[in-house]
Amino acid sequence: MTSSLLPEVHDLLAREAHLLDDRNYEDWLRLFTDDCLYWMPVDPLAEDGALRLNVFYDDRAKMEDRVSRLDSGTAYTEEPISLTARTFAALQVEPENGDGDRLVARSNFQLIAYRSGEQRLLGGRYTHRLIRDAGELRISEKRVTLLGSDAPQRPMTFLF
Amino acid sequence: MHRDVYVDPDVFAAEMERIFMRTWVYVGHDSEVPKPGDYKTTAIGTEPVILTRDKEGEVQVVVNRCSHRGAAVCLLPRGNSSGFRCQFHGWTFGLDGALAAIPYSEEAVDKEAMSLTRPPRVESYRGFVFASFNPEVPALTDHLREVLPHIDRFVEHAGEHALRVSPDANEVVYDANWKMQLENNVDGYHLSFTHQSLFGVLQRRIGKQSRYISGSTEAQATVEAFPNGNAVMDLRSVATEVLRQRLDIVPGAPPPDADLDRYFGIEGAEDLYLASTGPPVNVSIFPNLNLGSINICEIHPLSVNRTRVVLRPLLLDGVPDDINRIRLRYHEIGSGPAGFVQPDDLEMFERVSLGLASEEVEWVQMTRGREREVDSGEGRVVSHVSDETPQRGQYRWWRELMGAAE
Repeated sequence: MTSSLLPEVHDLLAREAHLLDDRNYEDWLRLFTDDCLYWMPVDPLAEDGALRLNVFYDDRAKMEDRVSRLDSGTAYTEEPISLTARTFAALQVEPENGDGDRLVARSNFQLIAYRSGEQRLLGGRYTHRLIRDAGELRISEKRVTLLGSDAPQRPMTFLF
Repeated sequence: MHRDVYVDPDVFAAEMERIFMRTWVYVGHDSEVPKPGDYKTTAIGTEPVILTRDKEGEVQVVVNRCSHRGAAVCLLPRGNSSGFRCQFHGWTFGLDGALAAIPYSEEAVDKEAMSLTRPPRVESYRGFVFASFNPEVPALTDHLREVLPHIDRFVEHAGEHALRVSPDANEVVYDANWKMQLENNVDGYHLSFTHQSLFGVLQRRIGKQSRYISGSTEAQATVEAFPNGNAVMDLRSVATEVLRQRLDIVPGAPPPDADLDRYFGIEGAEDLYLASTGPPVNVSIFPNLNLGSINICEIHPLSVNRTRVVLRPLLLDGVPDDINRIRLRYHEIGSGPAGFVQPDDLEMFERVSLGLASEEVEWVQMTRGREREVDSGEGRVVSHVSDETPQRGQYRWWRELMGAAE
């Protein structure tokens, strides 16, 4: 069963990656459910972020805040903007329930961010939780486990 | 201010020796090492140190360097241990740094000389632990005298509930001088400009204009410089509404019409909920600590042009988890490398660093408010929130410590 889901999930994650690198945030937000969670724990081993400190722990409204800030022209760490190019690999998809309408997709990522003459390489693991809604897969949770999330970082105000 | 103060490696080396090795430096909060054996690695300037709690429950500070050949004895940011063992040649030390054992040692050794080095002075005030390598440094409470009431307010902002520092921290590095962050913590002038995007977010969410301060000279918000380089920025009269707005955009905030007592499951929940913003007063303690909102900010100089900043939110003991959850989410709005506030500060510090590449222009202006500030005597100078009074106070003390040479 999972093998048949793999191409569909891969397409969704590839689409997400291109939307982010294209800075098409409006369409990126449409990939998520209304009650979604987009987060990066400080502790890469944290299981639940609600009562822990995170690098970010966004509900949909705060994701929209984040996007509006990036589009405002006054989020100065992104003026001039960071260009990004990301890849993901080692994608595995597992059902989270018997109906197969809830899935968890795990992958590894590398994100190159370019600004001010310098390329930064950030790497880690993505965990996407997906829900099939009216036939279409949407993201209900995206966890970004960044290697070094608990170490001092330069600003990372672009989206992961 | 001459540009060398920010860019000259010789000035930086002198600062480590004459400031960080001579005055009180903040090393941690009691609640970071609550139990015997707990430790946290940190630094006093560029000296790596470990804050520990020994078996007797006393807080200790030891240099993180084996007395033998110099290897660091502790590599983790925090943990719990019965002592420290240097893995190079197996020397072991107690939590207070005392030499415990040297392998294959048959001759008598001077245990005191072979122990981990300790700063001669460690003192704390209301849970804030400071250390000094200067045995002659005045008592900590003398150094802090004028800011003690402000520290008290910070500690008591949630009533009886004890503060507990989050073990996780938001950490950032920037390529500019450490004093940029020290100045910034009490810089009321930059808020409306550097952080314009935060006000934009609030405005979009609440549908009306949001701002801390205006250019009006009638605005009551103040900054005040004290002796010893300490300072406060007091936004109580102007910031309450903006802080409340920030609380409203916290992910998972109670709905606007929620009965807060029912939501949190306790009586008197509103006061506790509103306390999640912390007091709108930044307390800057020279050279490396700022208390503001609900966080503790540590400044770690790494080199003349590189600085690490550690921000830890304060949680409360004896409250429902939902209160601490709100506090964490509140802190995350602004802080850390992906926050809506702190990254823009770092960006400005680095732009200053780029601009100071100019050797043609030697001087940085720091004169705003010199005509209207009021010297209330005994080294206390108060002025309008947008004035550079605190920064002048910081550099008066800086010059004192550095000697008249600069």
